[in-house]
Amino acid sequence: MCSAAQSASRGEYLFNAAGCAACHTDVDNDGPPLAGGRALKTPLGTFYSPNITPDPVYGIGGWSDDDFVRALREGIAPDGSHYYPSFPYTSYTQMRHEDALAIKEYLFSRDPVARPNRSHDLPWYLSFRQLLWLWKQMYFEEGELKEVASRTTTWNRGAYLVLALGHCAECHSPRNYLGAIDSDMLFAGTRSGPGGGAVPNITPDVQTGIGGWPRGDVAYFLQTGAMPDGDYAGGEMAEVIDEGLSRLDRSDLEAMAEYLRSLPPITHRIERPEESSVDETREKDPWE
Amino acid sequence: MIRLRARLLVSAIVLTIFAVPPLIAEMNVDGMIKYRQNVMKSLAGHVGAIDRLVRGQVPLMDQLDMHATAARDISQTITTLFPANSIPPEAEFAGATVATEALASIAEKPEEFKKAAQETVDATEELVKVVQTGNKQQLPLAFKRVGESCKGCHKDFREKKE
Repeated sequence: MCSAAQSASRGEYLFNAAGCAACHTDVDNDGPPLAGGRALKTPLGTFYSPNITPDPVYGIGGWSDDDFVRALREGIAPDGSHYYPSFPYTSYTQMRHEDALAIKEYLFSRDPVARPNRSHDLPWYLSFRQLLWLWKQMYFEEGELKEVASRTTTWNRGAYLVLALGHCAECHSPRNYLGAIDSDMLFAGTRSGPGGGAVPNITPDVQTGIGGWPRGDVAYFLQTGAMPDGDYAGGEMAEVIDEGLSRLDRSDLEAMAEYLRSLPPITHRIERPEESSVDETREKDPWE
Repeated sequence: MIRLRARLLVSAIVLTIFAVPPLIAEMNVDGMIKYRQNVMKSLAGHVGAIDRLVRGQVPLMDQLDMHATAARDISQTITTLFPANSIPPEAEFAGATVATEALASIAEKPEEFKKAAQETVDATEELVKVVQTGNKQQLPLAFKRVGESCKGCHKDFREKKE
């Protein structure tokens, strides 16, 4: 049995791996850490992240363990309402129960901030959360990630970090008109990522993904933001690295790299047309 | 003789008014954007080369000073590369036909942009000092600061693409 301090420390590590700080802090307006309010602009509207500090009124201070795990793994709030998939429970559902609790333990060790949540800015027809039940029936598969026996321990660790905790597919995949990830194009990048910008193809396709990156450079990028050509990450990815990935063990970053390099390569060029000499787009984002 | 001098003077004035200013004052927006992109790519090229050297992947440490010095010199020009009409939304009004990843925040937060660019200047100057004094222990840390400064600027002032 580990102590609360040990659990919080483990929780901090998992919290960094899960990238919670990047979305739940309103960096643009110098908002307090984890107090929410960060705008996530999408083609469906603008979502504002909620306060996840342990404030009992505006944050999650009144949540039970079950409330927290249910939110992460089922996308259901303590009042029973459904979360929009802007909250990546679609990936977090694959998280282990004990890891979710360790993250909660860490969050509850942080300072509470009494900052009210901001309502999402969505068209009227998307404001009925009851409809999200139907969306979940179509696109959401609940359940912990299963280990693949035929793969190495490192690969399985990488899969867990990429799919469940890091929720990389949420930003690095194109979505359909209803905001669901195109499962045939997982990790193939999108020109309509969160915030409206392009998010690159991270499958090991040599021409349009990271297949041409030297071995070792993927883990190095996750740690530092440095790309093989000397360029550096910017935007949200720089925050994900600074606030999370750079704090992970090198072995975990290498595991993530091993998993990413094992994905089926998908040819999907993300650069804007004027920057690309050939059209190798296999499938277009519906939002383009 | 006086008439000849007067003609020369008038010619000089006419040339000054109609010929010289366009050569020195007119900016081709597309050209500016492409120039900036090439300069930034050359900076990335030097930084990427330094990265390989610092990580011990290439046994050409005698070239480190050259790359560090070039990175420092180029970084000193960064703030000159973003005239207002070459970044959104002005660039479009100015007739730009090529894409730019520069964000409007450069014009909206000029002091913050200047500060971020200055950090790259300071970091590369520090790196050059470390390289030239042969302080190998300080090298990874000095280079890390350069990388952090690149990332810091890209985070707020460049359209994401990574």
